[in-house]
Amino acid sequence: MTDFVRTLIRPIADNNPVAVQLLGICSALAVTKSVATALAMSVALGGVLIVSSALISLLRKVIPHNTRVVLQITIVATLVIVTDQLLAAFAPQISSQLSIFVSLIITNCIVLGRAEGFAMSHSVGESVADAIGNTLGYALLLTAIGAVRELFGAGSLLGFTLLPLAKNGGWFEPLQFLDRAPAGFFLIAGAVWVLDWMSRRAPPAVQRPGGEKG
Amino acid sequence: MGEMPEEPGPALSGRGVFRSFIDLPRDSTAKTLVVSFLVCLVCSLVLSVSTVILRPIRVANEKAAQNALVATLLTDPSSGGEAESSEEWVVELASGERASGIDPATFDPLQAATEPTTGRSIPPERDIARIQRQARHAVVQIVRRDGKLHALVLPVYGRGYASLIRGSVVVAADGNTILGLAIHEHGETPGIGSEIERADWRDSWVGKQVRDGQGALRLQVTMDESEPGPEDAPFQIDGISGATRSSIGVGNMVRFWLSEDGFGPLLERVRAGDLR
Repeated sequence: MTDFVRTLIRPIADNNPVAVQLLGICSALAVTKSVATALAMSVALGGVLIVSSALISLLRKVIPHNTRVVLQITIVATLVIVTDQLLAAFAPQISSQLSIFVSLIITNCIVLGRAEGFAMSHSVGESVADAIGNTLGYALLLTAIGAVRELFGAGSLLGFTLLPLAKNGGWFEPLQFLDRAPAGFFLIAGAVWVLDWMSRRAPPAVQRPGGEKG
Repeated sequence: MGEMPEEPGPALSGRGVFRSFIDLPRDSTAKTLVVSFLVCLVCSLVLSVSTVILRPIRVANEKAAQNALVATLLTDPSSGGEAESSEEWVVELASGERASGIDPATFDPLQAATEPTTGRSIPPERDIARIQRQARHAVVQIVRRDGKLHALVLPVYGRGYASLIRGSVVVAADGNTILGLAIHEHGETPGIGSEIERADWRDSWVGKQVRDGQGALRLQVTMDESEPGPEDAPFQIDGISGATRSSIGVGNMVRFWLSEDGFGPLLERVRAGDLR
């Protein structure tokens, strides 16, 4: 396995930003009511994360040590605003569903965590691989939670009805709890448990990452 | 840290200054300032360009969404495919008369409100929408079916709990029956105040009466738990629990714009049959 692939794969399960590092939880609670919003949020975050990682890695040799976090935030904030404007212009429906959570990507610890913890000390290629990996890890978890919440909370997936609802003449009584934000917490906790259990079963050669904070 | 760059000798060319700047240690004060400034400059340029390029598309999107929402309020399932036409009028609020000389496409009520010639201040005791000033004119949409007046779409705005709420009230040709309320824009707390957008709450406005037989403005949003008597029921809309201040805010904004300070004179003309 090449380094590139390893950097890409590690954040998907082994070092998942949401379920292992517990970053970006706030957005994961808010936008996982349906698969569509979870995917849209993942795309928005991915765009910001990949471009910001590439830019910050490119500038890592000239960014002054003293003002590095300020400059990282400036770059990330710019990308977030542009992403928000692009969504509002070309996907207004999705944009209104995600409401403020696109602008809140700036406070998503994954972005700044990867900028400061990885992009500042790695080459552009590695940083992009890491950003793609983290995006996939985030997207995978959000989509999985969104799928559970949409399927059992509203009886559909991506808007297609799979379980006909009782109120529409079907048989399925939706679990209203899944419609509320705390349900996301419980599902993320479940994912944390599953990933932890998997990493314990894995051979001990797998090193648990540590020391990266966001 | 804090080390000043070496003064380049007089023999150095411009290229030499650039070279010696590049060779400065990364954390020297000069390099810190210059690099930070450049990053900020590039970021602000990117933002300005993206805002300017994308604004027309976003404005068009908003307008389309608003029109679509208003169109759902105007669709009457009982009426067949009657011919419908709609026209934008600039109306002088104080007289309720159609005004000429203002282009409805470019009229900006919020901007007009701020100017002394095109706006007026609202006495605080009557300013229930909490907007302080309003424009003297407004752009209303006159909807006709089969050549007869069917409805008026009136733009309204006012303060909710956390933000300025903008919407449209659709009033029937009798000048007194609400056909619907559309909320176009607000910055209320997502998941709490944003409940004012909910379709079922919007539907609860349909068919409400603005004024009673004596001409008193009775329409209001109430948080009263008890069932309203037959006296009040036609005028009362149940507020949303959990979004009390936002829904009361919407109620006050609608009341304000339907009062004498808002579209009252226009609606008076509609009731009198002056406007067809």
